[in-house]
Formats: sequence, C-alpha cells, structure tokens
Amino acid sequence: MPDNSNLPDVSAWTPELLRQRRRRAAVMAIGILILVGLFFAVTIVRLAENVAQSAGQS
Amino acid sequence: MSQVVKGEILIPAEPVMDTGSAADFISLMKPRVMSLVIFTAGIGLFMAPNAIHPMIAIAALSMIALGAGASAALNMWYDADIDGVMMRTKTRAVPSKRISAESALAFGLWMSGISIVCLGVMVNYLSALLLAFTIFFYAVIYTMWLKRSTPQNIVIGGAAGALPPVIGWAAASNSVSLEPIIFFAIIFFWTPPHFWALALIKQDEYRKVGVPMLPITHGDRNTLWQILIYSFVLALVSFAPVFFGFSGTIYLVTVSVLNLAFIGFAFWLFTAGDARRNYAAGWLFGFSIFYLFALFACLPIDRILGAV
Repeated sequence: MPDNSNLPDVSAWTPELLRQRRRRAAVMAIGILILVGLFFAVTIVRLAENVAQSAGQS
Repeated sequence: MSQVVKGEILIPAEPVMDTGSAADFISLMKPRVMSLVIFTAGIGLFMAPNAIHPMIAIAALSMIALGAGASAALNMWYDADIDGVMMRTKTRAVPSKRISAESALAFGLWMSGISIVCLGVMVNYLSALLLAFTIFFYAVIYTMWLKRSTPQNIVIGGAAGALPPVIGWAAASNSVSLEPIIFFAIIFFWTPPHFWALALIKQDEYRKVGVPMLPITHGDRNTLWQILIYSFVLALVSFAPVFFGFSGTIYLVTVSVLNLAFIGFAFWLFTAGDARRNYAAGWLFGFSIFYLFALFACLPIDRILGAV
C-alpha cells in the first residue's frame, strides 16, 4: 500500500483557490507564449539582417 | 521540500497555497511606475542615433519593463514589514497576505533573471548589464540599505529610476554617450523634489515605521529649502539638451514653461503656511509627474518636427 500521509491536504483547496490557481497558470502560459513569440520574431529579424549583410558583402 | 510520487507525477508534500490572483502578482510589479520606466526607456531608444528594427525595440522595452517590475517585486518582498504599517501601502499583496513573502521573492528573482538574460540574448549585453545594475541598485543598495539608514535615500537611490533612458539608448546603439547621461541627470535631479513633496504629506507614516525621510530628520523648513534648490538645479539641467545642441526651439519653449510652473509650485509650497503645506505638496507631487512625462515627450516631438 502506498504511503499517502505526505499528500497535500486537498480539502484546503476551495473552488475559489483552485480557480485562482488556474487563472495564474493561464496568465503564466500567456507570458511564456509571448516570450517564445518574441524570441522567434527577434531570431527572424537577426537572420534577415545577417542575410542582407552577407548579400551586401558578396 | 520533500516530494511524494503519485503515479508518475511528483507532488510537493507541503504545497505553498498562495491565495493571490494573477492581478495580485502583476500588482507586485508596480504597473504605474513601470509605465514611466517604459516611457523614458522608449524615449532613450528613440533618441539614439541608430535606428533599430521595431521588433528588437519591442523586445528591449518588454525586457526593461519586466526588469523594472522584478525590482519592484523585490522591493515589496523586503519592505513588507513597513508596508503593512503604512496606510498608503498596507493593502499591497504581501502585507495583506494574499501573496507570501517567499513567493514575492521567488517571483522577483525569476523575473530579474529572465529579463536580464533575454535582454542580453535578444538585444545586446551592454543594455543587459545596465539592467542588471539597475535592479541590483534598486533592490539592494536602495531598498535594503539606503532607505532605512539615511535621509539621502531617495537622492542616491534615485539613480536606479534615472537609468531606464540610458538602458534604452544602449539597447539601440550598444553604447552610452553624453545624451543618455543628460537624460539620467534630468530624472536624477527630478527625483528629490518629487519624493520629498510626498514625504512631507506622508511624514507621520514614515516616522511610524522609522524610515528617515528628510522632513523627519531635518524638519519641514530644511526640506522646503532642499525642494526649492533641487527645483532650480533641475531647471538648469533640463536645458542641457538645448545647450549641447540635440534639441531645438520646441523643446526649449516647452521646457521653459514647464520649469516656470515647477519652480512656481515649489515656491508656493515654500511659502505656504502649515495649514496649506500638504495641499501645496500634493500639487507639486502631481505636477512633477506631468513635468517628467511632458519633458521626455518633448524630446522626440522636437526631433521629428525639427527635422521637417
């Protein structure tokens, strides 16, 4: 039998607390998505700059 | 923290149950202060000689804003004890226990790390270094050391708030020259009259928590003198962009009017009696915010219209 004595006391997690947790997670996910989007866009811009520079040199 | 295995998932045995909402975490970053940081950093970025791609500019401003928010979160973590006593700050997320101090600290540290690394990788290392220094200066030098130990706290600590236009300039040009140093000086000399006006109004609260603001350690009369002197110094420094030739007539005329009004408010506060002092200080405090926005807005307007 697994020892469940260390499991979190889920009875303390009221529906309101769980809802707030979900909202925090959603905001965090949006933040991470924005960061990923920024990295992607900046990478494309940098690549384009490098390509233009190389084309200008050749 | 110990962990237990349930199926394939690791679950913390002692979960931290913050009751704070996402809005509470965002409030840790002091969004109103952040807006001023984004604005001044944006002006620094715009005024730099190098034109950078709008996407890089957006990335730079986002990371500078995140860094400013991170330092604000660290400030709220450290100051939770005094924030809980002062009327102005006692409803903040940490003193009102909606967010635990540990979570505020972790949030501040994570956001600091993310903003510095991302600014370095996406923009350049000089701006990232300046951002790291700004966060360190605000969180450690100002919040942990100066704030509770000297009446010059906001004078020296004001350097942290004055750095965003320098970071913006460095993000665009990968260098620091005379122009961003002048922007730095304008905000640096603007900070004391701005905060001492607030300190005059809130001095009973600062006294209660033992923060040695100037009106408490040196009295109202001395503070009023200092506000007046700094207002004159600020007026002189604000003309430096014209003196050094990177701003023109539009800036000169607007800033002259702004300075007249600023010194007027400072003089009104200086001459106001005890009964009207807080009222006059409130006006100076409010006007000083408008002053800084208007002065920095003038720089690009002058650049654009001056070039037509």
